[in-house]
Parts: sequence; C-alpha cells; structure tokens
Amino acid sequence: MTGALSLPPGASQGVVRAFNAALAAAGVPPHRRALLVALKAVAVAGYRAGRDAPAREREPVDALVRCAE
Amino acid sequence: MVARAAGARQGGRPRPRERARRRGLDRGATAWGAGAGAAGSRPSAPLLTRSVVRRGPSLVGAAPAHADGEVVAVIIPALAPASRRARAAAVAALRETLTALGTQTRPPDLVVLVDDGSCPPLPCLDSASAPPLHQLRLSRNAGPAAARNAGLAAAAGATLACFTDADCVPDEAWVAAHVAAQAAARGVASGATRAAGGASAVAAFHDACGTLNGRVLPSGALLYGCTCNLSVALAPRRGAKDGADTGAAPPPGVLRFDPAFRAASFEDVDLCVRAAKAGLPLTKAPAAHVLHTYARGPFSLYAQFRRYGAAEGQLVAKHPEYLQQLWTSTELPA
Repeated sequence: MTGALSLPPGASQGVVRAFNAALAAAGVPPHRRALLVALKAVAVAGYRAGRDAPAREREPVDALVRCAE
Repeated sequence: MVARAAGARQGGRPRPRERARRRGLDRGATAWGAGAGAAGSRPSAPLLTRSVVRRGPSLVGAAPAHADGEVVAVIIPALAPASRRARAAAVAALRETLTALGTQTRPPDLVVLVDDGSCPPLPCLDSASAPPLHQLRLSRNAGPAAARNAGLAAAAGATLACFTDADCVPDEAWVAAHVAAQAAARGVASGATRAAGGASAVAAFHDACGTLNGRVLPSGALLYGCTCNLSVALAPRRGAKDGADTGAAPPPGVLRFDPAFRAASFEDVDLCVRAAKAGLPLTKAPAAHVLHTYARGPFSLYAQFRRYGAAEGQLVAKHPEYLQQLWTSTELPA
C-alpha cells in the first residue's frame, strides 16, 4: 500500500504534477503519460475521500455481514 | 428531540440502532478512530482457529534442513469472496500461489494458509505440487492482521516468516532472496512487487507508482514494506551443524500485526514503524520479486485507494511522527 498521497490539504494537484514530471523524466511517451496521470488523479481522489470520510463510513465490511446479505 | 437524538421512539420500542447500541453492537460507536484499541474495541465472539490440513513437520525445535540455518514459514491470509464466480477465481489464484511456493529454489519448510473466515469456507488446497502445508480456518472474519498472527502462532518454531498474499505469485527464487536479505541484516525485509498482466493501464499505473513496493527514507532504509512481499526474522538462525544460535533475537511482541487494523491497509506500515522504533533494520530484498494481481478499472482503483486513505488516521493516531517521515521518503517504482 502507499501513503504517498497523504499530503496537506490543497496539495493533491502537486502530487499529480510531480508524478507527471517523474514520468516525463523517465521518458514515458506523452500519450501513455496522460493515461497514467489520469489514473493518479483517480487514486488521489480515492485516497482523500477515504481519509476525509466519517469514521462510521470507514468501518470495513465484515465478511460475515456480506455473507448474510 | 432529545429522545429522537438518542434513537428512542416516544412511547414505543427503541429504534433498531438504539437497540444495537444498548447491546454494545453499534458499529458507529465502535468505528475506527484515534485511540481505538486492538480487538477489544469491537465486541465479538472469541476468535477460534481450526486446522483443516496439516501436512508437514512441526517446526518447534526442528533442525534446519538447509545450510542457511533458517527454518522458513510462509504465511498467507486468504478471504474468498462470497460470489461463486469471484470465489472460483480467488481459489484458482491461491492454487497458483501454492504451486509457485512448491517450486522454490530454496523451498519453505512450511506454508501456513489462513482462511480468514471465508463464507463459505475455502476448500482443502493441499496437492502434490504444494509444499508442506498447514491450512487453518478462523471462526470469523478478523482481518488480515489477525489472520497473519494466527499463521505466526501456527508457525511456532520458525526462525523466519515470509508473507505474501493470496493474489500473488512469488518468483521461484523468492524465499532464497529473503533468506539472503535476512542474512545481511536481520529484521524486516521487503522486495519488489510487479503487477501481473502488465499490459493494462491500471497495471502500468501500479508499476509506475510502486503501489505495493513500500517507500525508502533518505538514509536508504525502508520506511515500510508491504505484506505481499515481506519477511520478518522471528528468532535467531540456528547453526546448520550444531544447532547453535547465531544472530540477535528480536524484542518479543514487536513483530506481530496489530489486529486493530481490520482492513488490508496500513497494518504493514504499523509493523514496520514499530520494528524501526525497536531498532530493527528495515532493508530491501532486491532479488525478492512477486507478481500481484490488481483489480482492473478506475472504479476499483478509486476503491483501493479509498481504503488506504480510510486507515491513515488510525496509523497517524498511533504513530504521529509517521507523516513527517512519509513526506521525506520516496516511492520505489517496480
């Protein structure tokens, strides 16, 4: 798992930009880079949503509950 | 209004949520949060372990079968989905994991497979191609951290525990690579994890980010490694010839997972942070490679990272210094 996205509020765009720059430095072609950067934005959004969710929503789904459903 | 806020109906039966709260089962009241205790924060039945398959020697007091002096146990927690199709795929992946462990250049002395309360339970996965296997079943779902601890208890006598996941396929030299890494620095070691099916965009993303590769500090030590490719030294190596112990013993209790981390998220980081605080080295095992099957598609990616984000607060409450270390660390691309 990665905690790479845990940055102060407002820094999400910086994470994505830094990722884009790292890919460019690694020589990733622009069309591939665009796709990977879009996925990074999805990951950042998911991480922040989980981090900011109320504690009740963060409770993991219990397998037995799933089974009962 | 006060009565409504408390969840009780005026002159009638309490609302279901209130009834649950009175029984101590209110999920909201026991949700994760700062200061949440270990398993005690969530009242439930005691966790029992049942042995499904036991093929292989007891490791307690066993003489090492290999010149490296290690008695190696590989521990795999598994939770099969309830739906028939997903379950079949999960079982097939698990068989592939066991087959890969059966063809290691340095075979493990025991594989402990822990069914983390799958419903219905996992079938018996013993086969001729599998290594010596101890398959356990937990009486209820308790999360991967508790399942790994049950595996550690079943592997009593091992000097080295290697961890991987049920959706991973270790390279044929995986165990040997962890043994070599532990010989260099005894403590916690973690290797690289690549995405299986690297042609998909999500797989390429995970490889580019090193999602399950851990992170490295400016000093070169690992901040954390991930449990799909991790080894932990449990006890001093035993001399191959005379049984004499070599190496230092880790502090007791440090190298167990905290079952308060109920989801597959941050329980590995917590263990690594505790190990570092105890003075144990956290090192890379550069030759230990694992292929990991990720869920496909952006929605799964969002859900995966949402799960990671949800557990961050729990870790930070326990280790406030973690975020500062995180911001100085770097990713390890696959």
